Amino acid sequence: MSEPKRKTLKRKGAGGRAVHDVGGLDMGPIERAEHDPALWEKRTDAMLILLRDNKRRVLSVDSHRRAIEDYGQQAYDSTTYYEKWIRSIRNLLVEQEVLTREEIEARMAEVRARHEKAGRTTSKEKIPW
Amino acid sequence: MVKAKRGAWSGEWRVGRGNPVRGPHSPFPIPRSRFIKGDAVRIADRAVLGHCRTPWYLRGKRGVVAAIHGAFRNPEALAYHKPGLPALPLYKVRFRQRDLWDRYTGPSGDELEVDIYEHWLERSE
Repeated sequence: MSEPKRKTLKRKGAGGRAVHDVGGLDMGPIERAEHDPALWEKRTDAMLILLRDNKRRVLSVDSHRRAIEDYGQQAYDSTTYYEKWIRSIRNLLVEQEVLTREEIEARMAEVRARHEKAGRTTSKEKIPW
Repeated sequence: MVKAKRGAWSGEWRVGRGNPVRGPHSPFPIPRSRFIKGDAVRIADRAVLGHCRTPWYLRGKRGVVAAIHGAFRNPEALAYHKPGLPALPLYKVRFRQRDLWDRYTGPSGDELEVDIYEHWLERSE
């Protein structure tokens, strides 16, 4: 049996960095345009604050950051700031056994169906787990 | 002005008043800090094991302790729902920009200050 072939595709100039740790790399110009946060983004922010308070302690800023940093490069680069947040919140809720993956997906389907029934357009996009 | 001794508190707030001491935002006393203000330090050049607050571009770089902020729970443990105790001293470390970047074009006196936990610091000459 031959040895399995190793893939050694290094990020250019990245050394052994984690995916978020890009200080000093050439990542192009910084996007400085500001935008008003969407309602779901404000709600994401509010959820994070509630889940880390002294009563709930479901997550901390440290576990939140770790969950965001766990993304692969492709997913990390193709998601927005609050998409990273909502994925982290969802995944930490599962990790901390507050909700199950099945419960979340069933509820998402239910909410989507409700909006479609009311004639609203819904996004088919999903935040990867 | 009390002269700071190695291992004793040397921050701006309570110099010479003895232990236990706290920084203004530090929830824990610092039992003993390994470095004091003015110490030359080097950032450990090691790989990341999970969550870590020490940016990659500082690995192996030399700087000087500018202040001790206090003692805080270790974020590398907190990130995995562990208590992160004992609390670690957190230092403000000052670097020269030209020591960090190969082709730094700014004024040679430019500096950068970064907060670094004690276990990432090594003594430097």
